Amino acid sequence: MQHTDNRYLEALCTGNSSLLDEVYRKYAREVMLWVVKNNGDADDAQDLFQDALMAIYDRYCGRDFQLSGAFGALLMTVCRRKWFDRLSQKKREEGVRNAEAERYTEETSEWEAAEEAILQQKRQECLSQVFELLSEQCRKLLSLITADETPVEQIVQQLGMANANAVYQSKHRCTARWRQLFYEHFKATTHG
Amino acid sequence: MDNTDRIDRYLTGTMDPAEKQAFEAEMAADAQLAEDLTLQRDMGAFLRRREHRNALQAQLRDIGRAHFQPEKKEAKTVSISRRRILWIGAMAAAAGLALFLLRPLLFPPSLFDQYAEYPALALAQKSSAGPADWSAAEQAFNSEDYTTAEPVLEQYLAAYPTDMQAQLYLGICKMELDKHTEARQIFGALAQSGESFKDYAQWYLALSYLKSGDTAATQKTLDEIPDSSPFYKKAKELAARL
Repeated sequence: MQHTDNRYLEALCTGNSSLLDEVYRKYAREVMLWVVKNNGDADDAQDLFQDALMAIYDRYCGRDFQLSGAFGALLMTVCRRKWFDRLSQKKREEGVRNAEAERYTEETSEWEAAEEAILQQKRQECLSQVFELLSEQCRKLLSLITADETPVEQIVQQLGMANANAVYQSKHRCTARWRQLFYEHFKATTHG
Repeated sequence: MDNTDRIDRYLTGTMDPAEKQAFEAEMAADAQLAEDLTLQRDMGAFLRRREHRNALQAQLRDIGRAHFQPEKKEAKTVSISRRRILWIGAMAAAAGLALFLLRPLLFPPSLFDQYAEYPALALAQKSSAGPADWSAAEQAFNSEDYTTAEPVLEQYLAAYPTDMQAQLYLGICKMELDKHTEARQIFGALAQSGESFKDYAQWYLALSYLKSGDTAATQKTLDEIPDSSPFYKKAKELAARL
């Protein structure tokens, strides 16, 4: 069953400005008040709100996952969950203590969905980071073949490759390298 | 064993039913294979959404600014003659509105200004280990402060020389600052690259000639924009108006 708040999710996936503006009108104040109460300021709140929306984008847009609860509840939970992490990183101890007290009361389905969204965002950010470590030829090839869906014959010409077979072999070699880099970096960044 | 090819065929739906069934059974028993498949699916999602994701970030930044900036309190004034102040204010507002409405008639925008529209800049790398703040380039560019954006983009490109999006936006800065030779070198190289920025580079190259008043070169560059380009229609329209 699709939740009625799915229109906000669709706005995020399609970049619908007027509905995104509505999302901000509806939830920004609540996030701002919560962040200020928990040792942050308006700039922190703005950054957090955008970061949380991007996490939801990474988890749900262009994928088969359906939003099972309310968009607003998920957005607020992702914001809270992210703010706990930031406070811990910045060692704003008093803020952490206040927020932690709230954290232990959070055992909702939104909390799990928020964790999933944040994990997906970290994966996407890591993929982006290590993508830049690939050779220029690999980046071009993967972008052309996957993102732009350029016909293989055209890629052969554009990248000066021998034939379609060489394109596929390179694609697999580049994908394998990208995957290896991801595993190395993601494990290093998430497991210390 | 490298399963890249098999995962690719599974994800693109090019496995025959028997192979697919066997692959799914293998995946159920092999956690690493399942993890590799999830990752390869994420890689595809990353590549397909990359440009949209960057644009969305810039869009949210703009919307967010309007909603999170602290409200400015109006300064209180001593009430000398409230009615008089209101009257002066109303007259000034009316004059301002009239000037605003008549502005296109009094000062019509140039052809260049009518066509020079740029998507918001959203750089691939946000932070720097060094002193540079890359978001400063985004803020400056998106607020049309090209004098500030240009040197920050040059620093960014020194760190990430193959970032074609940054190259394109540096070209735009130079074009806006009337450094047309440098701008055209950048657009010309990108137009030859065969990358997804090629169409943008060809269009901005034409705009660069338009801005410097070289109608013949503008016409020639516009004529070279292929009908596969998203700027083809605009190019034809502009060529007709030259």
